Amino acid sequence: MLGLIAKDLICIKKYSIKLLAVVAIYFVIFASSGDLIFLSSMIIIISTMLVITTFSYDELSKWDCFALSLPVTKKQIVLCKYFLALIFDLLGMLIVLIIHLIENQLEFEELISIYTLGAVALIIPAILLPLIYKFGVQKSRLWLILIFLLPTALAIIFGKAGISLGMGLPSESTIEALVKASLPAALIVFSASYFISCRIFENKNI
Amino acid sequence: MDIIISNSSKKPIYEQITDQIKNHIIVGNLNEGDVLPSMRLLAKELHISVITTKRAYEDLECEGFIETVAGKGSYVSRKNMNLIREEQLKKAESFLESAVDTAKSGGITLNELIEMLNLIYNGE
Amino acid sequence: MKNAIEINNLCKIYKDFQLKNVSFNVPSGSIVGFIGENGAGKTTTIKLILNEMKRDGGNIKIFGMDNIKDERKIKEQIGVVFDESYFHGEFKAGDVASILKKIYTNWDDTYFNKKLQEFNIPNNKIIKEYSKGMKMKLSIASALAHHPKLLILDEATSGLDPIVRREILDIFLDFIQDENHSILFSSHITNDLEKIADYIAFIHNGKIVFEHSKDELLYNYGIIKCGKNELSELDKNDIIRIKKDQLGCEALVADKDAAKRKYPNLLIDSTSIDEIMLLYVKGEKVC
Repeated sequence: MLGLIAKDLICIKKYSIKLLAVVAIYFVIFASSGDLIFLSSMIIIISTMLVITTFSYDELSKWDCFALSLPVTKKQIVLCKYFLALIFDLLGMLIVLIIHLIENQLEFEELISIYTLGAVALIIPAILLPLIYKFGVQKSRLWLILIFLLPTALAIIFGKAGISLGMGLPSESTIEALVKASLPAALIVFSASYFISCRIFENKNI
Repeated sequence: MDIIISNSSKKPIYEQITDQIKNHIIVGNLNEGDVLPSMRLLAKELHISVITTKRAYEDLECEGFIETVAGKGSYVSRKNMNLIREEQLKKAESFLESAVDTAKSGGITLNELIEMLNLIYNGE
Repeated sequence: MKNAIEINNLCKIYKDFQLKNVSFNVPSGSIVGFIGENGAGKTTTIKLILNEMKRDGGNIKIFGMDNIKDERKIKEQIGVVFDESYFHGEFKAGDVASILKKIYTNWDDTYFNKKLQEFNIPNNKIIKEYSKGMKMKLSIASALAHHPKLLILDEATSGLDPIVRREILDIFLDFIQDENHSILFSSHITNDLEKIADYIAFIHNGKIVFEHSKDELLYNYGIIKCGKNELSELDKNDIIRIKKDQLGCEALVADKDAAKRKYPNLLIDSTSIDEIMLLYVKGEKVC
């Protein structure tokens, strides 16, 4: 399986110059707007995109057909992608942490939001990867857009609905509970997603 | 040892190989005990399949020209070369007998037959 | 070991195509040519041999082992070459080695580099910029570098110029010098198979039509060419397939020499793999 991870890393390395350019641009934007949260989310989203990019490259070169002739199991092929998603997510969180440190904006509040962001960010590949395995990268791009728009749309709708129902903002203890649950919940969803992807891949006609 | 294969000849390739090796043995290019290239090496050199060279060697072994020892290879049989030559002579003689019979029944003269023999022998 | 690959009653059901009871063997030390029209089931069969997808019936043994139970062990000893290069365009030859050496336990870097040199594959070009021949040679080098016992080739010489093809065929003949090595070679280029294949397995509409030795097909099989009125002369037990058209008939027979003796007045030609395929596909059985 190490070989598979190496393959994806080499892939990304070749892609990384473009990536660094993108990150640099966002950095510049941040420097001018002072919006740290935006930058943080951007970095974590980019880390998710990296995994999806490896799928694109695989599809382009019909890698799977060859990979299945190698002494690796289908589970390992899927595991490699999930492993990468996890690593990139952690890396993303680390970078955000470092940036916050540099900007001296690292209070407990920020730590919590980075932690939550990192956990929630696992949900994105958790939803996307089985879709990619089922429908391929191209079709899944549509889903990707939906996934990003949906939370925003929901937030707006619930925001408006919540206020009209007289609910107001959730209490501090609720927020605390949600935060504590975010990582375990994310990990459960992530693991479930792995098993679903395995199932889809095992039954796929290559 | 030279072996030359014709792709356009009607003769199967294994037969061409057999004939040429036989010829090498009879003429003396290959002597008793000489080791032949392995079937696989021969196939590679001639750019053909192993099953073809295998067939050629099997036919040669059947006719007593070579012996194949498993794991060691194939070599020219220690069979008496004279015996082989005599066998070929006998075969040629019987073919000539048929030719003579055919010629006589068709009214072809001895001289015409000799001329024909010259043409065929030298034309090859 | 007798057979490198043993396939028994392999079945796979798709919506509009089926593999039905496909059975054939690849004897150890031999090259088996696998022929069939486009869509006949060659690539599906190969993918099932490699267990790339689930089969619907039958069993497959490779090196005497079950191809599902001992999948990983088996795949360490198989080298596969498909008709396209499956390495990402941005990779270089060295990247391929870095990946595969972590996957195959028997990866031989020295051998791989030696092959790259022999094949004149540049170290510094990215694969996207390789010619088709170079891509194929890289695939072959990477298939050979872990010293497999079995090579499975799916149209590995398609689209290559005759000179490169000849070089590649020689590589395969070299591979088979070890009598424990075997090759399953699926190809449309019947010319290549006529040169180096030992056996030919023919698949049509998802079924195996025959598996014969190549020499038997090329030297024993023959085609009787006659007019329609001479058809009645032919013993239908001799005829494998017959094709009738405007100008006459062609009948495929398994024993050319016997046919020549039996029908001395008819034209009986030697045949080629292409013609045999054509008669099986376009011709009909005689009832």
